[in-house]
Amino acid sequence: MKFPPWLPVYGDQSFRGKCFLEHIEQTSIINRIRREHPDTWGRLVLHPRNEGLKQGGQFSTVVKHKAEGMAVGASDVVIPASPSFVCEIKRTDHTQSHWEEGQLEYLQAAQDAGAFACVALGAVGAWGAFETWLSQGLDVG
Amino acid sequence: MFKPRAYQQAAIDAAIAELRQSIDPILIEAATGAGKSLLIAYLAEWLHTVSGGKKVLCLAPQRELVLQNAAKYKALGAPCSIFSASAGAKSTRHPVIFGTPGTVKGAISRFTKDYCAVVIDEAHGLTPTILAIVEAMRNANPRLRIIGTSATPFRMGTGYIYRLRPNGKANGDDTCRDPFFLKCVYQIGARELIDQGFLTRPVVVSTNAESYDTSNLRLKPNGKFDAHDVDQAFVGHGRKTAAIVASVVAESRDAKGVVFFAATVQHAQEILASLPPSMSAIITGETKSRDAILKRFDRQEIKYLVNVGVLTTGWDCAHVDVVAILRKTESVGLLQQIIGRGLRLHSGKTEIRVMDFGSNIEDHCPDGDLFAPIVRAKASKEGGGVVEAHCASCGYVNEFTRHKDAEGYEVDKEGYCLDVFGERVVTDYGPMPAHYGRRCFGLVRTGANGEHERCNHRWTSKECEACGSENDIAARYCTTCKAELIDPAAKLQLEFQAQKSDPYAPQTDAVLSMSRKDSVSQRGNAVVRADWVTPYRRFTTWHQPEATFAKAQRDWERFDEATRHGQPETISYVKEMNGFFRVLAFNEPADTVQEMAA
Repeated sequence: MKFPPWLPVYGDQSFRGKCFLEHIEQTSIINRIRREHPDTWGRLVLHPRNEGLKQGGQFSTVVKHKAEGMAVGASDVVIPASPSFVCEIKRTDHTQSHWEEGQLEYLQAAQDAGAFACVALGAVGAWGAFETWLSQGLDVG
Repeated sequence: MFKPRAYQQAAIDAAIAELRQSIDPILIEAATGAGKSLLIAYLAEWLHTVSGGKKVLCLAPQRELVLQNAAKYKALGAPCSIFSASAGAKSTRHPVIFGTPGTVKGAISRFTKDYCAVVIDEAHGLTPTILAIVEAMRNANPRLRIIGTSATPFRMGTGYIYRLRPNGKANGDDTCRDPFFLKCVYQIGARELIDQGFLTRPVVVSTNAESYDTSNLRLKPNGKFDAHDVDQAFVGHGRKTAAIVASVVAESRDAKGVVFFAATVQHAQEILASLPPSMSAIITGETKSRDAILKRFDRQEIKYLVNVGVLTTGWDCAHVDVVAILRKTESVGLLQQIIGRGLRLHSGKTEIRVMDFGSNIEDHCPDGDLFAPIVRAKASKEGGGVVEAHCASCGYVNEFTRHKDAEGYEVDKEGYCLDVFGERVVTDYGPMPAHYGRRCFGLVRTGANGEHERCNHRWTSKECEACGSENDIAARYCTTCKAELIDPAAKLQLEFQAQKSDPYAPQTDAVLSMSRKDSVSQRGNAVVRADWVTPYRRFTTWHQPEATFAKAQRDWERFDEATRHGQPETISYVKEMNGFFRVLAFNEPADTVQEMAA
């Protein structure tokens, strides 16, 4: 997959080969943030559910969910803060992943709004992104 | 006096070792022809002796088996009694009694005093009658020893009838469900007996004759084939049956005894019609002269014996050298029992020919090995593969089916999912198991009588708020203190929802919308139709503004008053058995969970 120049990428872009599925990477980073920061970022971190692949009969459900606030292309890991952490997770071997509809647009909009927006390759990459975000200093009043 | 063979002695020793330590039910798995009667005889004698003269009851499902087991016991040189109506005797005079379950249960009070053990032959056929006998005897003697013997220790749907294998490994829930026997102490299979020269080698023979088409046979929920389907598959195929029988006869030219297994009585008669009359006989459940026929077959006065579900278990006739299966069996155990009829040694018999015209071997032994059937309990969940999970409490290594949500995760020694950092994935209920197992299958020996108790370690559990003990996640009540485990508020909410979903129960709902419309009934009377929408349902009520009888007039007055200036706040109603909704009142307080609690 191709990464636009404006989007920071965390993780080893040169890695190729067998790697965990995206949902395992996703679970892993959430698990680690909750384990290491249980009362702060672990309390805030969230994963917006997306619509996934819907078939004919579920069309009305998708419409309803979108009306209720489901955002197309929302990133995998979001921590509301100042700035917010917005991270899209892809597989460690990124050639086994691809961009879904709206994902790049969502990241661009988040970056424009001042969020720490990035793409991470695997949970290890995501943890690197999270640590970078923490080290950049947060406006916690 | 018989001297036990080496494997028989090993089985007896294994059983005695376990019986000395524990009162849990044990099982010996010994193939057909392994000499289970002798095992029973030795064990009964030992139990009687070491118990200080207490009695032993030996149960067998059929008269033939009772007599056979009793004869073997007598051959040891000790007297025994027979308690079986079908065998024509009801005696408990001697310390070892051989009986059939039905007769024993009918006189259970005679079996509750001074009994130290019950031995159950063909234990895979545990019936409620046998369980009731065991229960009654156990009530009288809590230290009652229970020993089962079987060649096929598994049942359709529930899998193996024992939990622990002789090597100490437990059968998981995918191969056994709620087994009666705790441990199989010894196994000797037909293949080993054949290799050791104690049984005849079976050979599956194919012929050119066309087989029956059993592809349309459907299993009913009770695990049996539909009788109509069986008739269609087997009966009324005179020409096909004749061809099959002819091929069996041709294949059996040099045979001494040929046994046919038929699907139904009518089918058996079709088979018999194609056999030489002077050399053939038929046995069904209704045959009165069964003994005489079997004796003639034993003496080889007849060569061909056709039976319908009678000679499948427990019947021994060593000279049988051809088994022709012209029926379909849904049970892998029964198939093995059928084949087992011909396995016994006989002079001049080098092999037993098995001819299967119902594609049983194909279905139950797909790899062609008659002694390696596929045994399974009904699957309860999806998932694939096996996860090894070491119990943190007792150390037992469980084998559970992998959870479908755990696909792709690394798994730790105790069977929990690991994230990519090597840490356990944590959920609201603790670490996430990678399997469907809930509780350890390990058995811990407890109590003075060496009873086994299942290890209490759980992978997923619910803590009792009252006593703090762990319970199964699906449990409603705590196993330790019996406290209710379901949140009372949630339970009340469920009950409230149940009540609200029952329109036949009177209830009061808030009115979300109401429309009234003047109309005319089928009899030409003026009526008003009111359509109601409440948070729980939509329904219609009918009212008569020009009613001539008091009840309808009162109903109209109440309706008109409540709806004349708009819709009422609430409506109390009930659905009657005629299907119409009836209004009970208006503007009463709507039902609430709190009100229900009060």
